[in-house]
Amino acid sequence: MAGKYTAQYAEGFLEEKTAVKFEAHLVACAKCAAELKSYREMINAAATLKAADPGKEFWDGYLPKLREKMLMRSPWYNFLVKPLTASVSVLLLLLIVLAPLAVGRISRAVRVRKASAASLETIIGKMSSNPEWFAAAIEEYQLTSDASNVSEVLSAEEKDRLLAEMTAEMMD
Amino acid sequence: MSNKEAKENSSLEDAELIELFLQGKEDAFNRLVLKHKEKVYFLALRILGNHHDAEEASQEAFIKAYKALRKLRERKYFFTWLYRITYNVCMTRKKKSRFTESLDSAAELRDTSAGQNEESVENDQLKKAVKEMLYTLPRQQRAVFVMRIYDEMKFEEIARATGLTTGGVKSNFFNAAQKIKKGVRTKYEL
Repeated sequence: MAGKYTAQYAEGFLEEKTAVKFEAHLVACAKCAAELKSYREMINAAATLKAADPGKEFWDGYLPKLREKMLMRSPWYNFLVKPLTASVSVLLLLLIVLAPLAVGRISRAVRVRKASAASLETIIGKMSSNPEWFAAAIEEYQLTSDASNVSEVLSAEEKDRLLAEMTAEMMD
Repeated sequence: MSNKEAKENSSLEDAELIELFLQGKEDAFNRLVLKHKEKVYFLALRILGNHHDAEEASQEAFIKAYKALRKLRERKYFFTWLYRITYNVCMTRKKKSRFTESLDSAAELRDTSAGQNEESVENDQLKKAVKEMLYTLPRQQRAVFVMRIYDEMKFEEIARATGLTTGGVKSNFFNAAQKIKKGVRTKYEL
């Protein structure tokens, strides 16, 4: 009888007639009385166990976090913001990868340009202070470099004209 | 929103807040969340047994409620409806292994009477045993048990919240109670 009625009696679910009968039985039956006592102790023990509160910080952030999740699941977010964010991310990634390459090329070009300008200044300086040296240098260049091949096919007037043009160009 | 308006909203009934929300006042839904978040979270925590899952499940429940709120006919039963959503989310949430769930859960529950020096050692052992046995129950039985014991809900209310019949709720509750009692007795010899 104990197993069948104890919990129902304790929870108040027995019909009045049955409950009265069970109460009479409890007086005479130590086993059922012990069963009822143990059931009530168990329920009381369970009732005193409360879940740990996660704390003020958690509760303060609960609504903002929920709103953020709701936004991320909205159709507007999924069809407009998400693809846009993805595109911007890809562009940024490309920029991060390609930027050092572009910067390298630009700085190399600047270095070459600066070096060329410096060489030109040196040549112009020497040329204006020592025109004989310049004429000798041009001559030597024509004889020793690939340009000597050109000089073989050029006439004396053409050589003079070319030299005059180069000089004028350098002086500009 | 002004302080005055916020104060007015906080004292509004669920049905009135739903009406405001349906008129386009988004803040009314925030009020519903602030009003019920603790109950929803703790129900999920007691069913699922760990903080992380409980947070996820409770927020999932609010998102589902937000999406379906326009379809709710009986607005005065909003809280029961929300509880039902929470219960369903918890039931369908991917199960961890029973062993892991049991260990996590034991960590999330604590004895609120601890520190009261009249408690006997035997009583403390009983509480510890009940705590561990509670999380060996199937989720449905545990859900019914916690709604009854912690939320002090009537069986009819639990039936509305879970979608079970009142008989089914009673059966789940008594089975849960019997299992805990039996487990405590055999496993812990109390």
